[in-house]
Amino acid sequence: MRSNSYTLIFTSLITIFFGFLLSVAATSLKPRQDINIEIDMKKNILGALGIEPKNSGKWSIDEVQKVYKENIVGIVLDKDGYETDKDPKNIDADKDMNFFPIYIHKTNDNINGYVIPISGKGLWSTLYGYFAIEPDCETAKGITFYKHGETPGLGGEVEKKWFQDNFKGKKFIDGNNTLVGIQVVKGSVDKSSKEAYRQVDGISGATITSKGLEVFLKEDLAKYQAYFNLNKEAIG
Amino acid sequence: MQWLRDILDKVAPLFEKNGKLEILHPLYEATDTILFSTDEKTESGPHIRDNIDIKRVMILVVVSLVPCYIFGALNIGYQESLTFGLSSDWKTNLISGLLKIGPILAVTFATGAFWEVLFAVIRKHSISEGFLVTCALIPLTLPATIPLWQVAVGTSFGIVIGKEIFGGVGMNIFNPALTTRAFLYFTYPAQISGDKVWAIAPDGYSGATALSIPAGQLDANAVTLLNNASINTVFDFSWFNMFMGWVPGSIGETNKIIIIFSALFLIFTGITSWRIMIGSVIGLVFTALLTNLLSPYSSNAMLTIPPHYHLVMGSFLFGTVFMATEPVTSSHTELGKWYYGFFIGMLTVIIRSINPAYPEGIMLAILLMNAFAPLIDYFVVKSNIKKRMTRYAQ
Amino acid sequence: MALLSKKSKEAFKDPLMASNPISLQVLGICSALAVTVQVQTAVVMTLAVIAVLAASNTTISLLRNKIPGKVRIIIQLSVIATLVIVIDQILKAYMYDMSRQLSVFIALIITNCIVMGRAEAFAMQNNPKDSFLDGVGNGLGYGGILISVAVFREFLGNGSVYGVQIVPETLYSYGYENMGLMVLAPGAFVILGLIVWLHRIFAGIEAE
Repeated sequence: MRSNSYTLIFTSLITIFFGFLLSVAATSLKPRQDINIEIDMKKNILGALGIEPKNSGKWSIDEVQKVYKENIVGIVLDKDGYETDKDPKNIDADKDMNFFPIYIHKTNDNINGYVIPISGKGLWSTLYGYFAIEPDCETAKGITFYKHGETPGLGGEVEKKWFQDNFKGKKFIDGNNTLVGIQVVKGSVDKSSKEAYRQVDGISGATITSKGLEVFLKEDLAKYQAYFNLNKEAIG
Repeated sequence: MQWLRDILDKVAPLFEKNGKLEILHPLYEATDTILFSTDEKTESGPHIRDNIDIKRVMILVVVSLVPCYIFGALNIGYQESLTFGLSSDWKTNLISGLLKIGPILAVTFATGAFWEVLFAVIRKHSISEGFLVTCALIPLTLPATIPLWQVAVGTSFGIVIGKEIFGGVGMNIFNPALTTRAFLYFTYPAQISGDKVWAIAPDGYSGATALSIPAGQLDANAVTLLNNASINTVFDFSWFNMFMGWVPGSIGETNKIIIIFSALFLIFTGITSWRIMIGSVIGLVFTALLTNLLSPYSSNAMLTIPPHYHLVMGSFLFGTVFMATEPVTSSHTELGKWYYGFFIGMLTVIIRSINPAYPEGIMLAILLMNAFAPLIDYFVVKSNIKKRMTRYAQ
Repeated sequence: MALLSKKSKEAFKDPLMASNPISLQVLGICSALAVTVQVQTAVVMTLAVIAVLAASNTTISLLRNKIPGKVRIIIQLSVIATLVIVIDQILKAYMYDMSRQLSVFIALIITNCIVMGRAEAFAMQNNPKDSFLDGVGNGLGYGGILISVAVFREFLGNGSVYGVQIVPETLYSYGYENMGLMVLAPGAFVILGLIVWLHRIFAGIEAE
């Protein structure tokens, strides 16, 4: 049996040694990890806008940085739709109810579109994604989901191209400039219907996921209406 | 019949020990015992304490399923003519329905027989006719639109994983026919759930089952929704029509009258337990009344389904009569059967109401209670022992 | 392998078949269920477990005569936890997408019974070389099962193996569907169960 002081000294030494090891690992790897998170977010934003990597393969880190820098400006809006001096990096888009990040797609001062983060409950899980909007502030340009836990083949179809392409060109604003949201219908859209301008084909067997998506998309769009209205006035 | 006996006796040595076809002995024995009564005694469960043996029981169950098949065929043809807007008489309905069911039935039996014979040969036991009942039940639980290769995969899973892995007939924990259905349900959800598969229909046509109409709907009364659906679609979801079974659904479950008559037949021939059936109906009615009471406090439309609608919607009666009562996987004690049945009815309503992803709950309810049946028996036996101990202690 | 004594060889070979941690000792099941949807995640997980096991076994074996008996479990745990966190950090920095897919399961290697089990049962009594081999062997035994489960799950559930499409497009156009169940956790139970069944038949082990 060893003495208590030996045990104490031994454990202290071990703790100090491994603690040191851990902090070295954490601090030396931190910059790379931050870049990864940033690149991942930027890739998703570019994806929502339908911007593909040049050589149709995978994004390289440099390419993402370059394309993003040339095309995207991230700003934070307050509740009334005015720009603030905050950095979108510091805003938790899923929780913050006062400040809303928005990413503007700009080439040579021409606005080509907007991207907003969206998230909400599906059937089994919270879905996270980005929603891209045309410069007219009322037409959908694209949608992507980067994280969800829905049933593959049913709710999981939200990450498929056919479903996401569905949204392109659909409007979430009606003739009276009221936010009506985009409706996910059961089955396919009846083209002759008056409502067809704001409807997309649903996923068969995934009513709840579709309904959830419909609801949280509208809620998230509502946060940005003040800003979009200001924009529309400015354009005239 | 003597000539048949003579033939069988003549070829018998081939299949005996050291005969040329020894390996196929199970096949020979199966043919022999299906054709002629045997003097052998049952050695392992299910034990039927009567003068009929398992083989006779199995055949009676299969016989009781025949009306379900005939009505299923009629209904498939009828729904098809509805969705295509054609008029047709019962004969064409029956024929077009049988043409749909026939291949499914054939694939099920071929697959089932293949595995049964394979395992019988490997394990050197006789072919058990249990697979006949299982295979006769499987098609009835499926939509008529299911692809045949999925039927084969599902049946293989049900027979191998549901039964053979546990040691074959009498040893399984879960009902093999329901195991098949549950497997298909989770493996190929697009072909066995949703609202596209329940009636043969033109592309893009929705043929929802009665239960999927109120599923996921908010702030509405289920009966009103059903009545609206009767007006807006070609299907008729009135109570009486659902009772008569002329609605989209799995092949064998829609007509409740036939199921009730089959149930009476099975009860009077002493084959299945009326306790389980009555218990689960009580469980269903009780829980449905409870959800009705709670419905004002929730926006869920499924809570507003009245008990008598619960009884005729979906496969509850079919599952209770043909699946829950399977002697191997249900409770064995008489008191236990009441509890077992009651919980099946209760869980059915709970799954139907609470989770909009599963508008039908009977399949999962039975499988869940299959797992709990031995536990129920354990408690029943234990409490009996305790009661007797106290009685004798005085 | 004349370099290795008989004992060292056993330390390495036993866990591969005769006392496989997953299929015979039924350890480390939960990660086996979680990371086996794709072969690629299973391979990375295997490498991570081998690294942790080998390093923790070696470290603990080196310290085995110094560690006070009273606090040995805590010391083992701190060694293992440190190693796991370092590996998690490295993955986050260099294989970001992979680390997102593996999510908490890398961190959960800490609670993987195999790692603690080997440290306590083997490394505390044996020299560093044997302990290292035992760690690698157990990691490989674990990974072998993990990867076999993943091959079946990815093939049946996605029609691909290691991200390469195996089931041809034409088969899908004839109505073939991927098995949705295989992507869900119960699919892993079924496959794992069948593998354990087959392994026990071939290893000649009856029910205990």
